[in-house]
Amino acid sequence: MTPSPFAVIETPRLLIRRFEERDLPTLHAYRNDHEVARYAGWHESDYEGLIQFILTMNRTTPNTIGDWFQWAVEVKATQTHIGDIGIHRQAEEPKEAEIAYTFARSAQGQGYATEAVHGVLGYLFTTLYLHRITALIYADNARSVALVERLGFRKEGHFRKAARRDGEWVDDVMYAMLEEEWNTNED
Amino acid sequence: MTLPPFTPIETPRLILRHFHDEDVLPMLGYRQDPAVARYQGWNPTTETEEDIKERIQEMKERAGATQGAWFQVAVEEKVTGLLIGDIGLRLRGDEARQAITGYTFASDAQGKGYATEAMTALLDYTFNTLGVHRVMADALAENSRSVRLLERLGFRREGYFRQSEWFEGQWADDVIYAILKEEWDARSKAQP
Repeated sequence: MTPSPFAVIETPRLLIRRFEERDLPTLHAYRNDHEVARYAGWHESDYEGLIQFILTMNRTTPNTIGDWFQWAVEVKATQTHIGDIGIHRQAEEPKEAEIAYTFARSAQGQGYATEAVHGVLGYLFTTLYLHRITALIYADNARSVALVERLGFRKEGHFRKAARRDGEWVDDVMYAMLEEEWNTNED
Repeated sequence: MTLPPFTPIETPRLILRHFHDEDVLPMLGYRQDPAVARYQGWNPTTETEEDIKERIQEMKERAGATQGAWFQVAVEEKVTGLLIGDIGLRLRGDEARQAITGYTFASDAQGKGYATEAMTALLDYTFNTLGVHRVMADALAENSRSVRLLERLGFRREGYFRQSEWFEGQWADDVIYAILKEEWDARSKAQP
């Protein structure tokens, strides 16, 4: 099946594009890295499941309301797949989207995540004209919290014992950015 | 996960029960009241008897709370036998031990402590019978009546979402409240 046409997002060092079959080994590696997976909403996954995931992502039209759509993030210079970024829009508030991201540990600490999420935010605010972007993060995921704060998100909530992880209840924090805040930051 | 069917709950002045066909007209009455509908998700001017019939039929077919769908119960004033409102909960589909709650009361039933009385009974049921761990509620920030009710019930404010809802032609803020089972238990012990 031919993936539906879709604009790739390009940043200085990165290409944010649809998943391809060749991403399978890298996707499998970071999804099965417990240090990465423990902060994510998904669980460690096998090849079978990830092949299905890639197929599903290729069938999904980006920005379809109600579905998560995930992009693969690639380093242009090396053509290495290093992570993914997803967005989710809900029917009740079509002008809003939730964003989520995962990066391989080997790609962390080089500003790639910041650059990639920044690129996607630009797309959401200036191409799709969304009004509000949110991110829900485990409260103890300091790296992710630092990332959204660096990008200018505001903390809007702290939800006590709102998520189940490794058999215990843990807290979530909620961050948000409005279109007007994006525009102010970018000026 | 099997959830028990709902059986009526009696409080000093109210009965929380399944809906009946006789609830259609009173429910239509308060759902068409602009003061009641103001902060709700429906339009009072387009609400019809058919809509309410359908809604009540749907609720009658539901024996109790189910994951991922709203379960609403009727609130009846014992002394008059009148339907004065409805309250409900939705168990999260992916995490059965979390719920969101909502409520609607007729204008002339407000200011008598009925909402607090009914919601206290519903929360007891949600935590103690359904085994829920956490109940959430949201309200438009300017809906002070709803905010006061949640605070009276012991909900904590956990979030303030700026411009998160399109309301009456502009973006409005939402407040998010939650209460945990352990907090409900501590409260119930303090105020038996």
